This record gives sequence, structure tokens and C-alpha cells, in this order.
Amino acid sequence: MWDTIIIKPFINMLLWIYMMVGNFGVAIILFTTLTRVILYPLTAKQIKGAQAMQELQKNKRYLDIQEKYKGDKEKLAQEQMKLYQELKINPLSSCLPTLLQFPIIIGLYQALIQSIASAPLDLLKLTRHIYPGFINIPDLIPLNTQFLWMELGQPERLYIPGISFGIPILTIVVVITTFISSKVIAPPPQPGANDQGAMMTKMMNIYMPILMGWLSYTLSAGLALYFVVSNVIQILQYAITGKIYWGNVFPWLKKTEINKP
Amino acid sequence: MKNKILTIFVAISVLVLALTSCTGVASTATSWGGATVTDSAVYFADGMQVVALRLDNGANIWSYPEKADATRNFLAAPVLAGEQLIVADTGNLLTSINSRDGVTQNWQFAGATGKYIDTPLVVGETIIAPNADNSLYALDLKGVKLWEFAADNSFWAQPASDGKLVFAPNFDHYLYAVNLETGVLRWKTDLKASLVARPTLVDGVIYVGNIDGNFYALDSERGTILWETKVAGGVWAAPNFVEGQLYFGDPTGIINILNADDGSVVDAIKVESGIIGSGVIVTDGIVFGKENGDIITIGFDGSNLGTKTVGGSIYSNLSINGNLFVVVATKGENPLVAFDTDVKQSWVYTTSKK
Repeated sequence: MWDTIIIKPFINMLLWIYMMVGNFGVAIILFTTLTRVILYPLTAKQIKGAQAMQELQKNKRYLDIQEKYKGDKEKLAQEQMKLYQELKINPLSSCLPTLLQFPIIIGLYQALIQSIASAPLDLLKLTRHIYPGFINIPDLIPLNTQFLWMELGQPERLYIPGISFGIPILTIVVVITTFISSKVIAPPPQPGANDQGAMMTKMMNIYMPILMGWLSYTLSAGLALYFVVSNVIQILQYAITGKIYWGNVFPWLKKTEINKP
Repeated sequence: MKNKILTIFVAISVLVLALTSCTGVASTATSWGGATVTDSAVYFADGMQVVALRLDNGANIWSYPEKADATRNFLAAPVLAGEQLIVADTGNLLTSINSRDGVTQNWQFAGATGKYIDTPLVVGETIIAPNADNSLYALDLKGVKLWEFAADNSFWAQPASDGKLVFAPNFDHYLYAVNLETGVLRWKTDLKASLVARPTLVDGVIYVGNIDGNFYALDSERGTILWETKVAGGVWAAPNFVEGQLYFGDPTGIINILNADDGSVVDAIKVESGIIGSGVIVTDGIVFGKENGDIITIGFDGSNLGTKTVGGSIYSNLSINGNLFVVVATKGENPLVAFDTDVKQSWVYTTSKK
């Protein structure tokens, strides 16, 4: 089921792009862009949902409810739900699209690993996952997994003459782009806003870049390349919708952004 | 709010787990182990360790390394060279250990930069090790590199040799013949698709198939193609040669029997599950391991002589010596099962025997 719905289409699309462009790194970039464009409706929904929740926290009725029922969690939940329904806000609309992307990321990673096929079982699976007649195995294999200085099937390191160890350039780029992308999409905390929410955002801004960096450091360069492209596209998508807060990363831009309508 | 934090952290943890479980770092799921039966013991590359097992009951004699090392995966069946046991790993190391104690390390060759997928070939005093770093390495029995032959892509499969030339299949679609003493290329022949199967050499003819299902016979002196036949699935293992016929399975679940003289198809037996590894010749026929965890015995006339269940998935070449053969079951409850040549189960190796 998982193979049929996710892995097979992903592998065939990724490899078809590779056959067209002849470079696996470029194929990953194009494939990531394509999946991000396809997932854009979910992303847009997520942005809209987050915005609605953000505005709700400034709503007088919402603040009154918080104050009035702070000792009665059950009643508080009931009243909040009523308010959500009245204002037509789905509290999960900012969270669900993110969760829905997880199977895509896992599927993409499995597709990448199987496409690179650096071990027998992966190659065996790959030959079985290619749609007959769609891609010609002799033309495809061996796959050229070299991209710039990277071997996309291996964790990335740049070896510079005179330095005895490899520098994980892509990992550093992943950490930076993850940090920037998570910072610029989070609205600046509003006066009177929930402290717990701000704390969670702060934690995620630290936790996510470290996590993504660790994955990039230990897993294949192909996946790290996906993370970088994905982060850049996410920033662009938020920029397109106008819900981007550059001031969170570049403080000298803050003033103009807060004044934005 | 706390619930929301918890949900996000759980989701991220699931993502991390799902990704890291696919890397092969934590498991051997990207390949399969291999075993070798010798006169003195069974040597089994069981992923994180190589174990030596008693021939009579499968009891553990020793494990190498004593404590499993996560950076080294032992997948290729070990090979014996005198008293040395040569073990290859995915941590790019080729190691010679004392086959009696499994502790004494004779030497270690760290000159390769890629994984060793298949077993090195020992020809007299020379060890030929195919590596995924695109090179074929020749070492003497002290671990000193004699030569290195570089191609355009990975060498996965164990080569064959006639004592003068080494015939090495490569991912780049070529079968290479290099001089055993010098490593100088004698000839190379384009076989149209990647080669991951070991070749079989019989009386100056090399028999080998590619992953697209083309099967070839080549003249070992010049590399000219004598005949070519197309079978249903890709060829992953060396054929068994018996009285002028070639027997090999494919991942589509067919055992192919070809006439070795002209490549004509004698029979194509459907067995309902993929066959990846080579079979072994027993008393009444040839035994093959199937991906569904069964072994099947095919008579020399192509008749089905019966099936037995081992469990797990069988991908590896079966290994035989004398009247004992072993079957490696990937992800099976019993990772290794031994049979006699009448296909009666002799013993089972379970991880608890460690």
C-alpha cells in the first residue's frame, strides 16, 4: 500500500526527471520544487490557520474566556470550541498540514535511498519499483549520484587540502536555512500573548535546526539537499503570501514589518 | 498547549525514527548476510558480526568482533585462505583473522574507500577483492596490495578466475578481464546493463547475466560473446552448471534452465517467489532459496522435488561443502539453517546460540 501510493510514484517521478536532466542533484532540486508546489494548497492552509490562531489570541472574547474559566479546564475547552465554531476557525488547520507532509518526507527519503541503490536490497527494490516501459533499467543504472563535490548517497563532507577532516557544508547550510525558515514564518510575540506559545516557538526554533542538522550530518547528502531546497521554497512561499517576518532574523527590518497591515 | 507540544514532539520523533531506520546504520536491512561452509566450520557474516559455528550442531565457536561495532556491517560470506579467514565489511575494511580463534587479527587492509558487498576471491596466493569504490584490489596473503584495477563504476560481485585472468563484472555494464599477476586489462565486453551477478567459468567459457535479464556466454580468452539469451527477470547470481546445462533463478520467481552450448531455453519453471541467490547441487538435483523463505529442490530434468520452509527471506547464495549446505534467512527467526544433501534439516542456528 505504502509502496504503491508513495514510494513507487516518487521513485518513478524522481528518476524520470533524472533521465531528462541527466544529473541526480538537479533532479532532487526539481523534484522537491515540484512536490512543494503540489503541496502548496496545504501550506497555504497552514499559513492561513496559523494567522487565524494568532489573531484569535488578541480577540477580546477569547481573552475574557481565558480569564473567566482559568480554574475550570473542561468549561474553558467547551467555550473555546464554541468560539472556534462561531468564528469558523479550525484549531488544527495550522498543525494538520504540517503532519500531512511527514509521510511525504519519509516517502521522499525512501525514494532517494532506493534510487541511489548503494546496496543490493535497495537495488533489488528499485528494479521492482520502476514502472515497466516507463524507465529503461539499462539506461538508468548505474545512476550518476555525483553532484558538485557531493556523493548524494553518502553523508556530505567537503575535503579541503591541508585540513585533515571533512567539513559538513551542507549540514551547516541546512541548519542555517532551517533556522531562518522557522524564524521568519513565526509572527513576533504580541503584547499579552500566551507565554507558553512563545516558549514553544522559541524551543522549536532551536530544536528543529539541530534535528535537521543532525539528520543531514548522518544521512545521505541527497536528503540534506532536499532539506535545503525545501527550506528555501518554504521561505519563498511565505514571502509570496506576505506572511513573512524578516525582522525575526534581521532586527534592522523589524520596525517596518510591525507596521505592516 | 502542553498537548500540542507533546503532539509535535511525538510527530518529529516518529519522523526521525522513520528516517534513521532506513539508513542501514541501525540495521542490515539494505543487504543480506552470507555464509561459507568449510571442512572445519561454518562461517556466517551475520550483519554486525562474523560467527564461526560447529559443523555438527551449529553451536557458536567464536564471534568477530567480540563486541558488535555499529560502523562495520559484515554482509559478504567470509572466505578461507589456509588458516586465515578473510572478512570484508561495509566499513571499507578487509580483515584477515585466525579462523581457529576469531580473535587474532593477521592484517587489515584499509586502502578501499567503498563498501565490500560480495566475498573476495582467493586464487592461490592472491586475494581479489571487488569494491564499491570502483576498484578491484589484489592483495597477497600478508595483506600487501599487489595491484589495483579501477573501472568507471562499482564492483559488487565476486569475480571468477582461470588462474591467469580475473573476470570481474561491473556496474558500468562491462565484464572486465584483467591479468591476475599484474592487474593489466586484457579485454572488456559491454553486456548492455549493470552486472551484479557472479560469473561462472567452465572450460574457457564465462556464463554471466545482467540485471535486465540478458544472459551471456563469452569466450574467456578474447571476451567475445558466444551467445545471448533473454530471461524474464534480472540475473543476480551465478548459474549452476550441470552436465551441459545452466540453472539459475530470477526475481520474477522463475528457475531458468539453459543449454550451455547455445543458450536455448530448456525449461523455465515458475516457483511463485523470487530467487536471488545461487543454488547448490545436492544428491537429486539443485536446491534454491526463495524470497518467501522456502527452499525448493529442482531435479536435473526440471521436476519439482519438493519445498521446505526455512523462514524469513532467502536472498543469499546457498553454500555447500561435502554433505552439508546452509541457508541464510534474512530477518528470519532462525538466521541460518543447515541441511544435508538429502535436504534433511541438520541443525538450526539461532541468535540465542551466541
